[in-house]
Amino acid sequence: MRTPLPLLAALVCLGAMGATAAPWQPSFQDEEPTDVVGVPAPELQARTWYNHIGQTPTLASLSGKVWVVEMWATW
Amino acid sequence: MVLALSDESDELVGEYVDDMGLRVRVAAGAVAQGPFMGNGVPRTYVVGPDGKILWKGHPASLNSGVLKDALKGVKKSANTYLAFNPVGEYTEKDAIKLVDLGLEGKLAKALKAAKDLAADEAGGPASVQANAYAGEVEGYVTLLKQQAESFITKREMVTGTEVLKTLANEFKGTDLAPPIEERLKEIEKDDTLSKELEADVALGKLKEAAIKKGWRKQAKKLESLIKKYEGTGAATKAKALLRKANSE
Repeated sequence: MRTPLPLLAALVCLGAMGATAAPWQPSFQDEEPTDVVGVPAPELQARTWYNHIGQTPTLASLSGKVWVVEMWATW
Repeated sequence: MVLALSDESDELVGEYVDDMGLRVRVAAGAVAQGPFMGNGVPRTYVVGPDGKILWKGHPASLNSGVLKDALKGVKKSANTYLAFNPVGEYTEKDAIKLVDLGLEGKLAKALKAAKDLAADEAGGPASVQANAYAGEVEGYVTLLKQQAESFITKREMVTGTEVLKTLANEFKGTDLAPPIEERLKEIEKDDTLSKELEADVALGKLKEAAIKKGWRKQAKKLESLIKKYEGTGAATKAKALLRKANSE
């Protein structure tokens, strides 16, 4: 992660694409943790990665790095 | 590093990534857990180098100040897939040096130094760690080769061959390079694969042009690509893009 600005642009772009506020997955509707700042990030679970070559992102492979996770949808 | 996670199908997400020309890392079939669970999308989390969440909110309200603060004092890792973050614990001073080399993307140098240290009988615990690290690096090279082949199978020839070229170049002069160089020559000589590669290069150029000028203006070029490279993976993708160009 080098320059924050292009990343921001990419995120805002993704954000605009999935701007409709709706549940991401039915099972997540009930409990959304309120204060997560300071809480250790959980392991990422995903089936297929795009635009990615190299180590599958895991807590171990990401340790020491700053990373930004965006939960989004195509709709 | 930006990781964009969707819980949708590979088909839906893959098509979207292609259509929008997204360059960030995107995942399909994701499951949010614990603190990442939530009600609405999009939602964004910034995670610090210690693995703790630093920020949560709508991506539109994430400003560069948050990221600058998060990045303070963080060691820069090379922006390349050759940058390797090992899983094992490396606590010996000389082993940590190896890990740092790998993080910088100097994978061949790291591997050579690791093998030298592993072979040093007087090296003690550092040798043991170096041996484990060398194993991890070799495993990683195997993974990259597999990923390259999987791109080639999917007819994403440019990406696949670039990965192989990068590896061949990085490990030039070591025993890891010859099989990779052989594979590249094989692709070059193979009529089908070389045509696929040529078609993919041509499609890549059209994609670049479309980012600047839009797809509509690429319609004629897409048509000629489809004709010229009939039967290739790039032609199939071009057909879908042509439908998009005509509907723009």
